[in-house]
Amino acid sequence: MAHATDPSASNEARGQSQSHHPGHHAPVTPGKVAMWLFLATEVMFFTGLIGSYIVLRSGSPSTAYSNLYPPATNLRGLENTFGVYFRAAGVDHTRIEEALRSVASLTPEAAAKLAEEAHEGSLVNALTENQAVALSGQLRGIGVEAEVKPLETHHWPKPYDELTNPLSIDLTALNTFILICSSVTMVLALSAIQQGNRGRCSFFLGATVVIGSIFLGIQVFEYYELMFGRHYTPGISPTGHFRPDVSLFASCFFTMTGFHGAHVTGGVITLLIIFVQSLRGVFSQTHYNPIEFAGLYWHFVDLVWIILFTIVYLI
Amino acid sequence: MTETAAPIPSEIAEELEAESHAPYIQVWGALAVLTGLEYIYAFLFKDYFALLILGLVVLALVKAGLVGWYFMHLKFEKPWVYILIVPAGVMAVFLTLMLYPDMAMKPADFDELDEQVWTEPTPDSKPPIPVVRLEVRPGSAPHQLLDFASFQTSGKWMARPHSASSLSPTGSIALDHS
Repeated sequence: MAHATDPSASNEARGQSQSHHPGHHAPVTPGKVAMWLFLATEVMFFTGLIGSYIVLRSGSPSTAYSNLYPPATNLRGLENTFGVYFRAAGVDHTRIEEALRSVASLTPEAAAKLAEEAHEGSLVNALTENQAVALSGQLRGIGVEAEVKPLETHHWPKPYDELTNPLSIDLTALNTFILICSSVTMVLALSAIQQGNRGRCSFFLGATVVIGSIFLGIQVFEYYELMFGRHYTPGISPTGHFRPDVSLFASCFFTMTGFHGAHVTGGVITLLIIFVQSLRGVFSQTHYNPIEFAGLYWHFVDLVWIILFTIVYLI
Repeated sequence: MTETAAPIPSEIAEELEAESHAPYIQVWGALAVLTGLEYIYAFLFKDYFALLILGLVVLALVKAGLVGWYFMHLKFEKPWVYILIVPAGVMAVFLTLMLYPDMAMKPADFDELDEQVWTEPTPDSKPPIPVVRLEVRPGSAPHQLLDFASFQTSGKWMARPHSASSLSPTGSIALDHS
């Protein structure tokens, strides 16, 4: 069955393994057409989210985020202020409180609160240069590693900048690799059932479910750390927690990764059902369409994550 | 362990042979390497925005292409599948590009946060003198401050009312608050 049309000729030029069965391609089944059509709509869905992110970020004014003040603060009158950033907190909280009250002229309540919560990553802002230098000097004297930070503004949280960007790029790079691994086990499952090997197929389907669940677990852990577990500087959030309502960046981040996580969850549930069916021997070398379609969905979800990781975390 | 089943037509059997022996492990290795490359690249170029975007987008597209071509079996599909994917991809790119001018190329006066009002420090006896400094982007109209409120009410763009109507050479104007 040779195809004389142009597209298949160029396909053949690309695919070396097709050279010994010229013109042959995978069969077109209604299910496959439906699945690809669905994936095309999913492309539009994620374009809506990621495209909005790109556009909103490009339109963000140059002073929307700063390293010392909450996002979208009008920096009227704050142009020449400095901050003191605690790189290591030391243990003596009463002396920190004294320093804060005397040098930084904070109210007793504010000084007490800041001193009690003082940890690596605390920030005292709205200081003049003299106050900042004096405060950091005094803090270093009592064993706190303190840095003076001048005001820096960005139009968007910079990756790797701990004062504006709370995201953990290391953990998420690992998570990206984990999701890619689950994609590999998925295609190996399909490959196994195409060779008629039911046991191998079940094994790899189970592996895909497990690895996909690990991805979700790490996402949930990251969400927990961002929303509840850690305290961040004012440059990241006015409340200290990174939640969807603290900044435009937070809102975009949680929307995009949240919807992606919802898609992964749906995929994991579907794969679990298919895994159970595979254990019961439903699939064979002539009947494996559900595995193929679930595989297409799963690879698509991986593809979206590759793009999301690049655009949200690294840029 | 292959189990016996109904005999498979030979074309399909050939296809299954081809698809099931694609180089999946090698692609996995390539994807792992590319992920590591992206990570290192982002760390090296984090302060050079244009190069950062270019390199990362290229790496991401290569990874996405590998996943699509080998894992999603685009390599083995007939061309009909592109009738579905290509329009979606084209629309994706164009919808984003079409929104870009509206959001990202606004003149400076439209955005409150771009208009920074600094208060000069003054002795307590005098009231503070606000000095308006505009971040004027090249190509935007530098001289007229337009009043968005008047546009909302009347539909016409009018100049924002202020007493000093010309910009000083440094680009700042002093408002007279009396």
